[in-house]
Amino acid sequence: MFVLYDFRFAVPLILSLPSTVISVTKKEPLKVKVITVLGSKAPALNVKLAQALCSGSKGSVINNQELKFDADSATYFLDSFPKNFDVGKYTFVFEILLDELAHEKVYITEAQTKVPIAATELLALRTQKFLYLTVTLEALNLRKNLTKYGAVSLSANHLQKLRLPYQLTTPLGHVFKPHQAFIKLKHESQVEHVFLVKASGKKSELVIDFLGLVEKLYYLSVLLSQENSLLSNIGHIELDLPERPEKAPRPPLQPTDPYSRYGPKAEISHIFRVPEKLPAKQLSLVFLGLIVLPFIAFLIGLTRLGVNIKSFPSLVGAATSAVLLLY
Amino acid sequence: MVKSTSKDAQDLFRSLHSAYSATPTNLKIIDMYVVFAVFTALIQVAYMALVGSFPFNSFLSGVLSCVGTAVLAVCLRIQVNKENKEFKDLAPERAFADFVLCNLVLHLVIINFLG
Repeated sequence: MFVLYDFRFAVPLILSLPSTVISVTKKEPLKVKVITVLGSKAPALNVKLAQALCSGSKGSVINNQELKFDADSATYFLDSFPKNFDVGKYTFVFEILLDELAHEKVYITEAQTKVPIAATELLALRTQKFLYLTVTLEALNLRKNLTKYGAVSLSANHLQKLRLPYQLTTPLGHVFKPHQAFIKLKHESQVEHVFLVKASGKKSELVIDFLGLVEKLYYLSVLLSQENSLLSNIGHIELDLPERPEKAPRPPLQPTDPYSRYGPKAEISHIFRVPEKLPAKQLSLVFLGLIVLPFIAFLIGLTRLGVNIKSFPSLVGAATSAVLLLY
Repeated sequence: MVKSTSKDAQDLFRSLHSAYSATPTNLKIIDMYVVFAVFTALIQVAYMALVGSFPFNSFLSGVLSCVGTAVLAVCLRIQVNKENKEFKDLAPERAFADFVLCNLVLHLVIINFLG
């Protein structure tokens, strides 16, 4: 009888995780699947989590934890995490142990499978907002402990600065430092400005100087970027800013609504030429009188000569009409 | 020397004045008209010097009307002057009619150019 299968090579087993992101507070187990290269089911084996190395700390958080096997879905899962399992980047080291010794010749596995795991959670954003004038050193403290649904209302004018120190804490209470943090100011007309926050040490803060901005009514929202991103609307600022000068940059044009093409168009503003400077009225009148003088002198000279002026029209109306008739 | 020159000037002026009185009256009228036109032109130039030449076409038309009518009056005087042998055959009425016609044309142009 032939042995139909006489393996000259071993079939590799692959350990894979459907999701590498786990939530710290949600009680979802970490699932691990083991299959052969060709996709068929793996034999009976044990998966052990040898180590869970956190990127920040030195020691391992979890040591030699066996994963339970769920026969219905053919996955191994780890459902209990230790209490100090915090948010961050971890490297989980898995080991596969075959149940039957005979299978060790048939199947081959990696000695240790290292999988990067990100543990995330909704972080609590605690901000302490200070609003102070630049002239006097009065400080208005508005300490609010914000969750992601909290919002603060402020009002400011263009001479003040907004200092926004904030602190991110994980559910276990440790201070969390994100890769990058942005503060997004959103105007009510959907124009957005993004400011980059310098993260230094435990407390990060941002100072926004309102002198450079010339628009009203901003919303404040915080955008953080790392493995888990958190966008929360933290407040509403009403800014009373002066009229923008002519040369100030305008906000970028928003895309126009295509359905409003047949509506009324924007009003055209005309710019008229500045009228020329005219001389003073009195001066013009003086010279008008001066011009008439030679004519009067002419008439007086005529009478002195003794010319025959009897045929001149004596009535004023007749005289002027005789002259103007020519034109 | 100064006294003699001033006396000479006075003598010259007096002789000119006596010679001028001998001219016929119609020529004197024409002379007065020319003087009137020139004075009007001078006053217009003085006004422009004060105020600036912004509507330049107005200034030009004003000065040109004065100067043009003065020139036409001088032509009339030449043609009417009996001592002038060249225009012996030309009737003075004809000269005056020419003067009036030319003035009309001149003033038509002036009024249109005034602006």
